[in-house]
Amino acid sequence: MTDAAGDDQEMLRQLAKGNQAAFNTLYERYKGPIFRFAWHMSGNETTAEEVTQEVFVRLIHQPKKFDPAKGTLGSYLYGIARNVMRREMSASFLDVGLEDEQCSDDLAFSMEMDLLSELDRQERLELLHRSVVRLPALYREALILCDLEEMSYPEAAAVLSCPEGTVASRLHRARAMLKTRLQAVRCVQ
Amino acid sequence: MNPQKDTLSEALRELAGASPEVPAELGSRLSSEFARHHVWRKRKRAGVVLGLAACLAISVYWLRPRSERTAVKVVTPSAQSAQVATGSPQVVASESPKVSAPSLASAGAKLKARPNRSRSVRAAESKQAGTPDAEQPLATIATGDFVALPTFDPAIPVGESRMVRVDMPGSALQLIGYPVDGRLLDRRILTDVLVGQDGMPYAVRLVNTRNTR
Repeated sequence: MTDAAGDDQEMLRQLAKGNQAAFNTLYERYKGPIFRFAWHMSGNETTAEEVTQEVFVRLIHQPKKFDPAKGTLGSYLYGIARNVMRREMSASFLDVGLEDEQCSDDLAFSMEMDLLSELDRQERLELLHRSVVRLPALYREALILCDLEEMSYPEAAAVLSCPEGTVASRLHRARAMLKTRLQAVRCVQ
Repeated sequence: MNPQKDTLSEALRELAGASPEVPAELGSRLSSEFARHHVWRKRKRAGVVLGLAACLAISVYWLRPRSERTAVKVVTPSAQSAQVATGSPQVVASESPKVSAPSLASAGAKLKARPNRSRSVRAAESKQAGTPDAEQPLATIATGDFVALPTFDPAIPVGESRMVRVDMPGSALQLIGYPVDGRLLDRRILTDVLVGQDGMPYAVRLVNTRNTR
């Protein structure tokens, strides 16, 4: 067991006893990754905030549900965030697959982006974010965890509850989709 | 290496760095939720501990030896026995009854014959020797067994009660609630009456099983 994982467990034990400082430590440690994951998955800050809140409220109410034998605390929290996101997405339009609407979508993007000769940084980031959000959820998760959060394949596989090979193939597919889309809008190259 | 991949990776890293910050109020909301949850949890735990302590106290009280409780174990007349623990009963021989006579419901009690009988009882027995009734025992409750009367209230402690020995007619005994056989109504019966502080008779036992005159 790594030091970080052991420290997380100790903090969680303290949190279960009602130690506010332990909760604050864990919150500071994981709020960023969870919020960013939720933001990239959902595409809007309000949903990301709600998801982050839900994740930590569950941690407060049921700290003993975390099983160290199944993975790290980070994986556990990402798992909660994924479940909450799925619930949110099933009730909204967020889970829009790229493959089903690729042609018309690319065309729309191209027409829109042809009007812009040069994108500044902020616009480019917005376009990139919008493109990521439009990836199918399975590929989007892999891309966010591996490319944005810089997790290793084993870590991402633990979060996504799938083999490392599956993570690699989803990531490859996600990058290809994203590249195609960005080439179409001339954001990259 | 593929330059397009490099460019994409760079763009994604840039995107990761440009992600918005977590709102500060979320942290304070969660902190107050944490505090609220643990206050509620402590209260719940205190309630459980208090409940367990109450259950334990009640169990200990009921599991104590009977003599410590100074309580009366009451069995209804149909069960035909009652055990009374008293502080220090005063025994007064042949005192006339001074008890009120509440409305009573009599039940058919059978009194057990007692082997150790007094002289007066033996005399009474000899008087009745020729009658068919003398062949069968009239009472089936042994001396020492109290029968609770309808006036007895288990909620009232009987520690300060006193015991009065009276020689009373069977009809009077029936009036205070003791189940008396119809053949004994006009006879006199030597009886121990447990009288409470309020003067009410709580329990009765026959001194002898065949002490009728």
